[in-house]
Amino acid sequence: MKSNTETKRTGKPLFAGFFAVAPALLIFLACDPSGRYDDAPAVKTRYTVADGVVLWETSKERLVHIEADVDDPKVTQLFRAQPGADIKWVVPGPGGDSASQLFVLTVPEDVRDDSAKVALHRLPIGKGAAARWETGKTFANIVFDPTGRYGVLSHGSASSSGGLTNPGEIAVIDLENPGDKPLFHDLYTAGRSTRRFVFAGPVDIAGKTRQLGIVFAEGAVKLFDIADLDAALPLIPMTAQDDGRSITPTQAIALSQKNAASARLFIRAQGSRDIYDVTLAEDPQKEHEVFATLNQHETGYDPLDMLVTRDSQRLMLLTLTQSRGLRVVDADTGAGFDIPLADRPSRMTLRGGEALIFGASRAVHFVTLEGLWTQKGSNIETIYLPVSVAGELVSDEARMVFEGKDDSLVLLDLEARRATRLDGASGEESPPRMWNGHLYFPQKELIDVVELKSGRVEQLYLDDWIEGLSLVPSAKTGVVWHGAWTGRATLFSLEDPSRAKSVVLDGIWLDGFLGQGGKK
Amino acid sequence: MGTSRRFALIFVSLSLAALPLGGCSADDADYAKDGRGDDSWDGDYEPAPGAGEGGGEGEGEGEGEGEELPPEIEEPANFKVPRGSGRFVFVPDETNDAVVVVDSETLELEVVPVGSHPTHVVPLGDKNVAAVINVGSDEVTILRAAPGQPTETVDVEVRPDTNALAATSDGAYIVAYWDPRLEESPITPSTDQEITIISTGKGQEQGYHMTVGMHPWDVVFDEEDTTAFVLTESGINIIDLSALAKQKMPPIVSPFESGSFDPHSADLEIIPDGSTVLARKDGEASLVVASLLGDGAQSTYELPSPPTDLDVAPDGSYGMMVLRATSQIAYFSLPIEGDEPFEFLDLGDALVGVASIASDSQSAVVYTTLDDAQNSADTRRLIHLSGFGAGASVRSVVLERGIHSVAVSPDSQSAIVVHDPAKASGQSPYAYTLVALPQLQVKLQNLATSPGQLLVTPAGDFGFLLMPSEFRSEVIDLRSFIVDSLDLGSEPTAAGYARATNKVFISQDHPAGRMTFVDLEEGSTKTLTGYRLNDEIEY
Repeated sequence: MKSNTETKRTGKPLFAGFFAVAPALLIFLACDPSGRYDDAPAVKTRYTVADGVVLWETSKERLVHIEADVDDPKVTQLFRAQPGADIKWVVPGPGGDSASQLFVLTVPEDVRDDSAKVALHRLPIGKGAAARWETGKTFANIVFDPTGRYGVLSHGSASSSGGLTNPGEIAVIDLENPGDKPLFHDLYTAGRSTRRFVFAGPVDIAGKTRQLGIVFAEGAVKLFDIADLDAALPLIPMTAQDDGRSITPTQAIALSQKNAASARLFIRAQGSRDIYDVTLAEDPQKEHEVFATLNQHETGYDPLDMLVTRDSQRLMLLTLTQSRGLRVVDADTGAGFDIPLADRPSRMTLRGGEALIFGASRAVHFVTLEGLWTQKGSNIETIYLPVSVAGELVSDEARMVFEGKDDSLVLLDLEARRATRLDGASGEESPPRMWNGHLYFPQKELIDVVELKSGRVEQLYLDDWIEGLSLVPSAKTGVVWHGAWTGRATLFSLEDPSRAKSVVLDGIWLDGFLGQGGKK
Repeated sequence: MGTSRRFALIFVSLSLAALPLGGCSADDADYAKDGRGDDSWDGDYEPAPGAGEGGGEGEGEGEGEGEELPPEIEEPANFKVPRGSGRFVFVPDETNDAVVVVDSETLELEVVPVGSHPTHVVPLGDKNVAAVINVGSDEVTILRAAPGQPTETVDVEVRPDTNALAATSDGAYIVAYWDPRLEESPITPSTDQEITIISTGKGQEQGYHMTVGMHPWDVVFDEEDTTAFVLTESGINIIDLSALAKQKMPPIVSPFESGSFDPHSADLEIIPDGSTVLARKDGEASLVVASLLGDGAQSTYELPSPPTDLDVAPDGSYGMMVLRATSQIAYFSLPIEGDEPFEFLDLGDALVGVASIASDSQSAVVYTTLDDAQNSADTRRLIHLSGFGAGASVRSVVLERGIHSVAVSPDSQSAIVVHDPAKASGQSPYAYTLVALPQLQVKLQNLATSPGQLLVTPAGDFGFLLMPSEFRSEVIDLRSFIVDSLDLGSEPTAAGYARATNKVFISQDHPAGRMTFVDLEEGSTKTLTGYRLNDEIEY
């Protein structure tokens, strides 16, 4: 495929073997002008990291790093599993899309092979030291606390090791002082399977700051202090022993004030019509380090979303249900009222002094929180989008982008409360991205670049089908992954998304396929 | 009306299940019980009524009028309800073998372990103390709560096959006995004639086991709390509470021949000083007066027609009977003396069968629960009597619908009349009428679904009528008759009152436990949910 952009071979054309197989490659390229090949090396997942993109290529159990630099792109093999081992999972380190390290769990291909161990690897992106820990068990996932200091491995809802597994077992790595082994710990969950770990961050309870972690387990939440695992924090059930309902927590909001005597935790759970309101305080009997008292607030039918906010007079719990609309509860007294909402929205978010309520519908509601208790719905402004939408695609502080049900995009300016509809969204295969007031919307072989303020659209046409789009803000570069058999990526400037300011990396797999080391 | 009455009627509570001419359910009757220690209920006892019982359920049977009334539906008593004592509310949690103690002032709660399967809770006086019977471990746990302090407990063994409690008004004594209506499924105990009486003095708690007559159904106490009376089908066992150790088989007085007495078709009324029992039977035009002092004295007085109701004034100064067939009220002073102790008040053509004497003993309302749309002026008339005897002042008002039951507020200023379910098209399915006394100004309130329990506060200023199907309660301002609605999160099951904090609490049907507190002074509400779960938090 020939493109008008500057095309660079990202590897050194130094391997004699390359020329031997080139004719065969050209045949493949000629047969499928779309550049998509059924037998291409499989990229299981792409990860956006601090300075580029990492590809998990499964045929060789390796991770390939593309540094996002239009002027000087680099492709390196970041990691390859040792012989006899497979990559089980890959998780970007703390920081999400701006992570500067990756964590990889490898497992033996053959469990009977004693030479291969289950191990966790830390891979720095750029500077930093790699590390490896043998974990013994095949943990299902790793999550990081908000400070980025601790990584917590857990088993999740299903055992991957085979044999018996303690669902409450975790392995903790102090990333600042990693040591040779993780710290293994049993978070007592009474045998309940764990679904998810979340962190509430520092929470002051009874004069002590806890780095509060919350385990969403089957029918309960388990609290722990990641910095003090031996502290016996409560396991809070969501059903009584004789209650046969299946209830799984799905959302938690923690409220804490510095040096406060108590903290509050609000939990929404699938299968329950109540919001669980947990007060964490000092134990009056001095038997436990933290004492939990549970109350529940009825919401109507299954709550879809939850917010906790405060006006000048009270702490309010806002829940969204399809049966009642918005339910507003005084979290201290339990008194509440309902505000019916048009179009059955399903999501809420806080934005300044407002709650923004929306969903797969035309109506977007702006609810002013101050005075909500007394005005009881008379201070709601509803904007109707031009078309019905399938849901929100992406948003930032100023704008929301919805997917229209009629192959359109709807841009909503949250400040001006005005919506714009853009035709021609033919069902993207890769989610759009937003940066600096612009929306990058990949479709087939082009990227629509939308200036969100004006709605003006420019196209960046590429030479190949787009499988995925990543934005690397630190490099102001977008990285497009194509499905080409040879391994192809296009890097373009976010500030000037034109063919002139882009570069195609072609034959990524070819170089790697023929030899070791990286391309440049 | 009932077979016995608690004399310190504080406020009224009726449970109003929708029954076809069934009137009050056993639920209501069960808690219309003094001696069970909860002043939130009507003081008149209603045993599982049968046809013709004069307690407002179905009248006319046995009077020669030939009306065959449908049988009453006996509902299981709602005994697993919270009870208030002082500022605390005690909630039995049978699953977790605990009692949840809620401070109605702060709404802090404490889960207190007790014996196996705690079911029935009674307050012991009004000083933050309650008792619960643990039917799985044959013991009673006495709980003493205090603000900011852990609740103290003491366990006392009771006889097996006891499942109900009755307590003196001061909480000094508890009687544990068998009440078949408290069982959700029919169970035949090995015996229902063994009881335990517990003296609850702090540090000196002790139980005394005794045998009583056949099939006891109620326990009441005299106004001084010195004597307990166990009402059985064999008669009335008399227990001197000051000499419990000496009594193994307390003496029995039988106004009627033993075995001939059906609590569903008769009334026993013990007058407040505990000296005398008054008794009537359906279909018999007579009143039996028997001494409870152990002298065996008994008299039978003939009446012009069979009384359908028998009541004693709360102050014990008089009693009255409703003679429906002759449309008369028969008054008598207490103690009853002489050969002709009655004064008859003629009510003309009015059809009456039931009476309720106000708590101040100065007035009464009489009515019938039989309804005849063709003769509504007769059957839907509510009559207010002021004074006593033949000279009592009579005023009446004809209501819009048939009368199911009437509750008079403790301050005697108002009455709440719950009507029969609608029979005619165009009527709302259910309704109640508020009646100002004595002027008889009325207000009709229509309801879409069947009401549940009615609770009236001791001051007579508010009424709470639970609406189970609608997950709410009517909140009735009895001074103005303005009615508001209190929405609840779950189906309300029972209501009670915490005197110390002037709060009404409404328990609701929720898997983890739910209770709403209404502050009557501030008009605010707060709901606690999940208090059962607090006992299951692990560390």
